[in-house]
Amino acid sequence: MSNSWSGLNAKQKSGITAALEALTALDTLSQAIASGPPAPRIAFRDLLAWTKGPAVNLPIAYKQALLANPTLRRDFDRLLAKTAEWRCERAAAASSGLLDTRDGSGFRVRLKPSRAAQGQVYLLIEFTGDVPVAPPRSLAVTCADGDCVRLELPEFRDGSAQLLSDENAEVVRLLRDPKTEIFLW
Amino acid sequence: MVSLTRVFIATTEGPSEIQRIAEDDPDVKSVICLNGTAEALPVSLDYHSFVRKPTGVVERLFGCPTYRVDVSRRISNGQSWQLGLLLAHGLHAQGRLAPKDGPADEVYWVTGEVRHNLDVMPVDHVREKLRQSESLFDGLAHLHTKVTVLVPDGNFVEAEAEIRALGLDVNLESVRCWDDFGPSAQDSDTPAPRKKPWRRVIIGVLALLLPFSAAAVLGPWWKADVPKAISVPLQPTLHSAPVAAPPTLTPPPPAAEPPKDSEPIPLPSPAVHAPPAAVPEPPPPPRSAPAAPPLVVSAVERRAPPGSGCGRLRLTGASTVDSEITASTDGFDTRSATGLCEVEFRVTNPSTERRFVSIAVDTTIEGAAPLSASETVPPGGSISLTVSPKVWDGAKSWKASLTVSDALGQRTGGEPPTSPIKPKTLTYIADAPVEPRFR
Repeated sequence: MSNSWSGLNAKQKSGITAALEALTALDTLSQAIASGPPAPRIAFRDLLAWTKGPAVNLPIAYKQALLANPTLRRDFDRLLAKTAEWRCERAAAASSGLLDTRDGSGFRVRLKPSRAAQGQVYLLIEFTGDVPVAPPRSLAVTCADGDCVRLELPEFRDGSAQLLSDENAEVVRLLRDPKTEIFLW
Repeated sequence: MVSLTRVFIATTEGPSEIQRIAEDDPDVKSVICLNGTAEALPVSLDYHSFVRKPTGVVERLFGCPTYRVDVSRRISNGQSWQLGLLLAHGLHAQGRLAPKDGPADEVYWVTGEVRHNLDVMPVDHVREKLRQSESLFDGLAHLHTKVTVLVPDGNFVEAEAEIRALGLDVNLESVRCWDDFGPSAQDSDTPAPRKKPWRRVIIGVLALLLPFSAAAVLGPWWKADVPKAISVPLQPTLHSAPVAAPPTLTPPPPAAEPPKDSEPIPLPSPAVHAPPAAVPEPPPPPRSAPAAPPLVVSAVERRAPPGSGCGRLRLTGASTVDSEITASTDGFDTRSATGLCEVEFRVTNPSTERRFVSIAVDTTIEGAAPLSASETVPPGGSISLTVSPKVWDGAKSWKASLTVSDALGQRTGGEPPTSPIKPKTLTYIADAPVEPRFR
């Protein structure tokens, strides 16, 4: 079906004109957004370097790349799974609210608010079974939405290591989130 | 009114003020934190052992198994913080520890190691610690604050000489055993020590008779010239004697006196932790270690011999024709994919020390997962990853990106650690596209 422009009434012509103007404005806006600085391309090697490098929160560009690229996300999950010697899966579906304890395979992570300093939390990583000869040096917490934090662990003594963190630190938020996974290596 | 005392732990980087002691949950380990932040110092684990029974003494003396301590400056490894912290715990138990930014009636500058039997052992670097605290002492003298330098008996002579050399206006006290310093708490049947008055009984006290009267005369000059920041390293007065320099509080040393760093330090009694008398203090570590030679990156190609194919080789285990190519700074030269069975990427450690090396290979081979490995590589040793193109894809072009880094952040090619990791690329080009079914 086709209509000639001359066959349209004034109301129809006005509506089409308005729609075309709106599309033109949308194109202009899209071009302006697209002409911004190109986003850095994050490759697997960058994620690998992050896991091996100094412990920091995952940069925003990395998170965006993991969200936008399911293949990269799958490779990253596989990298963490292969790198980690101990793992704590997401909490059971029945879990709701925030957690203070996470039980993994052979270890437990507890969050304990400090009595001595308000607003600070102890992170206690404890082995529940045999204490490994070579305890882990890194802890990573990942969330399906791309968030990820990695920490260097202090020395383990008597099967446990302890970190102190601010209550509002991202690692605390992620550890309390039942949807996150924890990796130790 | 209770008099308040501030305690500084002597370190070779400068004095570290004990800002606060607080009891914490017995379920956690004791920590030493920096300036009230959540940064727990690495020495925290040792402090925990120093507190907690049965190894520790603080819980035994003062009852609580877990403490959090805040200090103003990092305390590195070693045990010389123990006496200062024990003193601070004693004051804290009596409510006499001066809080951060609060007033203090007197100041203790302390160094010493405390054994489980409460013996106080000599420590190293007392002279250096005193030198690094010189501006603190000057500032406190200007405020007319009573300052006591408390050291183990075994360090008394050394401390006395340095205090004299620096012309410090302080009291010097020494201690041989904590029991002599406070009430005996070794007997577990004694009542909780925190309920007992903690007495300050000083043994081995020897006040220095220095020309402190000069301080009053030179006070105005000092006020104008001495830096306030305690972290500013001061020039040791024995080492500098510029003609035009303003007068110091220190009497001039004898002309024949050797530099104090090499001066023998006689210790009155054999001490396990006493510094070697005639050995000069070690020089400060270099800011950065000399750059290690770059890791050597190469690739070993394994190809089927003429008339054969990779599939047959894999089935029969026959030998391949191997050739090694070495990467330049920019990567590898483009190579032919024809007849290529596999490539072993190899990273060799050319240095004389072990190095932790991480290696990752990402290829454009369809369905191939990225590979990675990490290990400590001995001198001359290597770490490798092998990539195998599919048997029937041997004539397809493909590319491998190799990323290598070591624990020091050194990148291949010797780039500075701050530069992004630059992968080395090896491209294999099919000489002539061939349909797989015809191979």
